Amino acid sequence: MTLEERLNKVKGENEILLNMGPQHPSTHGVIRFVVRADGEIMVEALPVVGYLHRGIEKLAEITPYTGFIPYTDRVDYLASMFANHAFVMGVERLLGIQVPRRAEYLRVIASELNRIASHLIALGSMAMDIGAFTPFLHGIRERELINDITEMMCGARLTYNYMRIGGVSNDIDDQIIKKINSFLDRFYPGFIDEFNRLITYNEILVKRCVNIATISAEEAINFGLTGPNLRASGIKWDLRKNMSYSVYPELKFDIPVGEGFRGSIGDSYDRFVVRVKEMEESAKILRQAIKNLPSGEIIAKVPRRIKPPQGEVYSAVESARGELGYYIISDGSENPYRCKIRTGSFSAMKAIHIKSQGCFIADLVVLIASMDIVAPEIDR
Amino acid sequence: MNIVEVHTELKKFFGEKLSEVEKSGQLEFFYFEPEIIRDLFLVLRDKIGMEFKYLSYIASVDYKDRFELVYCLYSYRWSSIIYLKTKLSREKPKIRTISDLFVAAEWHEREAYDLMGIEFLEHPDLRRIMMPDDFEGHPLRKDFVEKDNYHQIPTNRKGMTGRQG
Repeated sequence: MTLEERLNKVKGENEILLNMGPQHPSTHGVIRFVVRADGEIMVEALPVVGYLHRGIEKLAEITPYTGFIPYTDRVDYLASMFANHAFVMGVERLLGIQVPRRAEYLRVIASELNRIASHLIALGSMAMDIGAFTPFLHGIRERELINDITEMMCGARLTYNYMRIGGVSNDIDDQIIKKINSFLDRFYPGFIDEFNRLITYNEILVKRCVNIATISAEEAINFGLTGPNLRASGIKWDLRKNMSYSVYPELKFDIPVGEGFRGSIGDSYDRFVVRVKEMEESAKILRQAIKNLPSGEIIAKVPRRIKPPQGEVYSAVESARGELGYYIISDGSENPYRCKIRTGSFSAMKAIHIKSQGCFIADLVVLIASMDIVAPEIDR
Repeated sequence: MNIVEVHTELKKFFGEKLSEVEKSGQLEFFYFEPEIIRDLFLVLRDKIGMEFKYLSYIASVDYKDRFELVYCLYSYRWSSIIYLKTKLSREKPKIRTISDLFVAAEWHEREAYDLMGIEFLEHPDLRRIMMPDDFEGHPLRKDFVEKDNYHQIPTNRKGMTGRQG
């Protein structure tokens, strides 16, 4: 069945077809929506994806384990540390490598910085989609500072390739720690307060988001939503706490959940506020991790040619967009036999399809932006 | 509730249709017969004491002589994760959909259909998802060979002048 046949099969009498994308500024990448609308109400917004399909899962089968790490950056370009982390963690579990504690702390620091950067873009672009341009620039401004830090840490501003099997690529020195500390002093509570006053409590944004596309807890689980989208529906589930990995058990932080801050639990505004609160928690984690940073090696002794024994593993991390996991099958050779990537945005797309039914056309951008989807993560 | 407890509980319902718990590397799982899939997932989702309500992913694997599907389920109630597998024939891989039980399954099944060529019966919307509608073949199969051109666009450097890649 092709797309045309699918659309013809269900076409109603008074419906119009609207095409949104693939190059629409509010679709956050190259995604297309075919909107069936009856007047101003959508019957459905059918997502058409695949424009960014690069076949990363197929590439994994012809690439050695170490050579695949740069590809994982491209799974999600706004939060590539997590994709790095999940993959190397999986290979380490297959090989049975113990990662040095300093390396684990550096991974946490890098990941949490990346989470703040990713959320800033998500919140800023959501405000921009609604029509407020200035908050986006505030977000970008703070993100530049994080990009500077990651550039000092690993030489890259966007696709980091920072993590190695057994550790990380570069150590951090006092200069970088000073830079992170000065960023944190400025960021929390200072910047977050400013951001909240500027946009989070802004009555126009609140009115645009409240009670739009409310997802109940039961639905969120059934849709397979993860990460902030799930927590906004009121479910306290975070892989960092519930299925802890790395050194997260040693760090103290809360899991913010949606409480119906202005409307009902699980609406678009809850998803917005949960992300703001998560940035605060990330800042707390960063302060602790910097304070407790142990000294020592940054990479374990790993064999030159990485050939994991036969077996399978699934390793998942809590990325900025939810559960990001790699299901790796090793057949004992240098390349993975199969590598399946499970991402948060892929599941969120189906939720958008269902939740768009009965919404206003104008609210579709709010729904898409509040789910914080990123196109390369859907298509891979 | 770990995989062994789930397995012993399910054995009461399905008996011989389930294999014993196996371990491969870091993963513990068991196989089930494809025909019981809907009943099995209904029990896993709705039985009090199990409540595996969140389907994380469905992975399809080509083992050259057979296909395997891997289902990964979470139970938020018990903070546990289980993996189930099923074997499908290489010639005509077919299995019933579970997208009526788990909405999340719908797109994962479409992905397996598109990239691996596994047919899901009674699926509401079984279309290609990543590849274009007129694409031939299923790229994640091990015996997939890329065609020399797609709509007259060359896909390799055969016959091109200049430096060969």
